[in-house]
Amino acid sequence: MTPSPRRIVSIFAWLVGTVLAIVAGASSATSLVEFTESERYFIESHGPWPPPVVVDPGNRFSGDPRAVELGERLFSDVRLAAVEGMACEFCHRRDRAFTDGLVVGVGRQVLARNTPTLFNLAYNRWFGWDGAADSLWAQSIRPIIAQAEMNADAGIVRRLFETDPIYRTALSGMLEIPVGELGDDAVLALAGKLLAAFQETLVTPRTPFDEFRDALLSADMARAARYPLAAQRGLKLFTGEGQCSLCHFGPSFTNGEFANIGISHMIPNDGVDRGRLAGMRKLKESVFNLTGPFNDDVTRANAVGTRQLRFRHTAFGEFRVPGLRGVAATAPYMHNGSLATLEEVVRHYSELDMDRLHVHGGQILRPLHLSDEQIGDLVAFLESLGATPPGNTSQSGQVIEKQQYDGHAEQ
Amino acid sequence: MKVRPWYVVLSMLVPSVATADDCPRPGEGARQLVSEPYVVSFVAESGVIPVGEHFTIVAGVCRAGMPFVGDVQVSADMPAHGHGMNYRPEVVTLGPGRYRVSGMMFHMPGNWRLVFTLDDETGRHVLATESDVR
Ligand code: HEC
Ligand code: HEC
Repeated sequence: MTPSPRRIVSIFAWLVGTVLAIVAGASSATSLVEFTESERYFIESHGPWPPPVVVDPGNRFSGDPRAVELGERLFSDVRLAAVEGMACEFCHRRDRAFTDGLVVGVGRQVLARNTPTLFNLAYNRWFGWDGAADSLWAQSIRPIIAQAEMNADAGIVRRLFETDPIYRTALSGMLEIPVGELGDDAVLALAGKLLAAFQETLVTPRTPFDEFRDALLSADMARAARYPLAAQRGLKLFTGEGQCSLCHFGPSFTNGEFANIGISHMIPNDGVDRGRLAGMRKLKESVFNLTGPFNDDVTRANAVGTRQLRFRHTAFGEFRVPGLRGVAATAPYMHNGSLATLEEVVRHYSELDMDRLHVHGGQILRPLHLSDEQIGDLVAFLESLGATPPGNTSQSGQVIEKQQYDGHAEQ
Repeated sequence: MKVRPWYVVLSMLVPSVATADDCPRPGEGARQLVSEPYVVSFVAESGVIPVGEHFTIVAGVCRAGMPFVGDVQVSADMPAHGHGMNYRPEVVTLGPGRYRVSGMMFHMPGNWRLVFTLDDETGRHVLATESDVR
């Protein structure tokens, strides 16, 4: 009896399937690292990406396309500053992932802290290295009025909104009260909210890590195996033995809170950066915090963290856990820009000086004493959190120049 | 229906606190902490305790089967890491023996200890439980 055509097809399909399964099995054996259940839990926690769009209930312009457009205009508008040629963009440069590549920011004066990226801020709870602001819009007001930065005031902002036809026309359609009649703080809050509406749209793209995570979760081993082995080994260290994921938790690789990892809190020449301890005070004192009159969430549900903040002495010298997406493009690192490359960062964790760590963090962090190969693996993993495939380091890890400075701003 | 004798015995052994009608229960899936004569039943308002997000707990507190009268405080810490929460939860009384605890946040996955501190005229009573949050 000759087999029917259908039977031949099914035999053929079976053969192909078997061969594919063998190939896939072989390749997964050679190019997939084994992950423990706990490591897999953390890997899963680092996605999905991008997360769903969030709207900030405290900013009534959040998600409003008109506000996004005005905010973007404001972001590069030098008329917002009382300093020649300065705008937000002066320090948060688009061509540098919204950082300046400098050790610390430089405005009218040299600042005490590194300029962070503006990506993925929509998912944050606290803003600034010390979390002195509880909303993106409040954080956006600070540089406008800071003497060391744009040195402007409400009058300058009001005049800009009233005289420039683009702002004037658009705003008249968006506000119940003419800009000219808004009080000083209300005008600043308005500028902050427009700037925030724009910044909320800045989200890093999907990365090789995300492809790997999703493939691993859907047990698509062939696709997972495309993720370079070095990055896989680095990911295993990150989620396992290194315990990095405890603080760098979740889709943005930050739990949104604060820790002390033994980076110096001394500011050159004089002064101490007290980090979160000072940040909590500043937050409570600010008229723009979420318990105040400019929060657009009438329920005040979004103010829970501010209301119930616990003053801890351990907050001295703590800084916000930075997100790590796109981190290869935002050198130098840490609140004071003291580490120039990702390799230096990993070496810092590898050779932690336990005397520098205070009570907190000390029980999670310990020197990992990594080999050079392991350091390379962790760096490869961190680089895979950027859209540029590892190996193609067009911009990553560069520092324009190491800034030498002799003065600094108040913190 | 055939009633097995030891079931009857068992149900008689269950302390009346846990079954008394006057003792408020927060709802489905509540967990119970018992330190005679105190019983705390609690559940996350949203059903699950998230990592790194604020959450609210609803709790029923009883003393000898009756709604607790006194002061209730809630705190949490990670014994293995030696740190507590970065927030001070607020306890609001909803009615006799019923409480709402807001502003909780477990900012890391892992083993958290949740502590209810009850103060009444007999002194301070601490009921704690540990669980792996992830
Ligand atoms: C002179 C340089 C400079 C200018 C100009 C500047 N920034 Fe910044 N920006 C910084 C520095 C430095 C920090 C870190 C501040 C801190 O943590 O204390 C920062 C922090 C931020 C953050 C917090 C990011 C985070 O991760 O929490 C936001 C948002 C921000 N800036 C937005 C703006 C906006 C909007 C403008 C324009 C209105 C602006 N910046 C102008 C240097 C600058
Ligand atoms: C105890 C919490 C904690 C753990 C664990 C932890 N980090 Fe961090 N990480 C932080 C904090 C806080 C900062 C910022 C510190 C500062 O600026 O003073 C930071 C900064 C960084 C930065 C610099 C980011 C930037 O934009 O400046 C990188 C990269 C990094 N960590 C990677 C890692 C790796 C890799 C591990 C594991 C070996 C790890 N972290 C473990 C809390 C932690």
